Amino acid sequence: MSEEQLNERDPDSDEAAPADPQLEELVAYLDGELASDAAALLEKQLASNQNLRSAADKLDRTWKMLDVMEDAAAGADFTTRTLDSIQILSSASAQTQEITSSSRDPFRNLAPAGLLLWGLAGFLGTTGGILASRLSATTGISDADAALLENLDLLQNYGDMRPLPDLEFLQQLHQIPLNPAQEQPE
Amino acid sequence: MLKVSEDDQTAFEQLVVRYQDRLVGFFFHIVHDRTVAEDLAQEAFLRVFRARDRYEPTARFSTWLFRIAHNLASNQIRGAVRRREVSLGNSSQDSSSNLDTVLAEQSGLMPTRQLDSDEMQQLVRQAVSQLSERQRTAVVLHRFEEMSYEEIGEVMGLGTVAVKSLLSRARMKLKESLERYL
Repeated sequence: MSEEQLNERDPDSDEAAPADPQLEELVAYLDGELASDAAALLEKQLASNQNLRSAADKLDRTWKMLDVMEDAAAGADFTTRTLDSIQILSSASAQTQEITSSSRDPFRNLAPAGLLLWGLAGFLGTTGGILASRLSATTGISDADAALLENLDLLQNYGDMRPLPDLEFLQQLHQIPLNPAQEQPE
Repeated sequence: MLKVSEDDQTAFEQLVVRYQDRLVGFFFHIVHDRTVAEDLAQEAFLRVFRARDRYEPTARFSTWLFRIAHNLASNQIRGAVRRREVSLGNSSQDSSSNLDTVLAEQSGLMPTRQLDSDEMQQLVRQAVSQLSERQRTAVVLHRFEEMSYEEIGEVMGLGTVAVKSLLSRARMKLKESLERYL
């Protein structure tokens, strides 16, 4: 028997008796699944065969007994609960996508901030160097120490500056008025 | 469903409202537990939502939905069977004797008395639960969802010949279990 033929048989056939073609035809007839010519042939057999008629009757009555089975419908809050779950799933999915896209390049958002910090440090370093060289000429402090002193504020607050997201964020921050009252219409 | 695949929330809500009772009813007939049936129905809708982008209108939506439901029900039954095996070990009772036990408990010393509707309901449920998982699913889809052999085949991934065989065996088994109460 080919694999295709096996798939066409009842998958539970190994745990039951061999298939009975006449029974299959009878059940298909009762289910309205028999082709018209096959149905006509079976009706002739039913008319002449008392045992077959009795078997058909019992199968039909047994099938109708299933009507007594209790049915169940969704509870009153089922729709709300389901839609709430979908909402949570949807939000979680959106957040995951956001995290996934940003985690693909963890330094992407930090790059502008890094450039900004390096630029700031460079500017302060250059300015500080010039000032330090002038200062060291008068105070005796070395150039390196003078540069450190000049950038002391930056170095002390480096930890706070590190999490700054990007240049755009800083620009937006800069545009926020320090005194919100100024934004109020008169 | 096409609107759902375009992230139309209202369309999804309509879909849930339209199919929730059928889905809960289907699961209830399979697992006989209202809470579990609702949980499984909810999970089925979640899976529909997750897979909305992949839906292709080549088959009826109800067929697609019940295919998801059938997979969930199968997993649930297999999981329950495994749990029962673990909890009972080798002392598990032969399922074929369960119906007789129910009959004895229900009928007591008067086997010929008229059974009331609750008792009959329990007997029928017990008879259905003795069917194999696939037979039970086919019976529920055909009897309560009024699906054709072809639709049942699409839901269960079988050919119509296999469905025909599955249902004839199921009906024969039901007849053997219940014919003394006809």
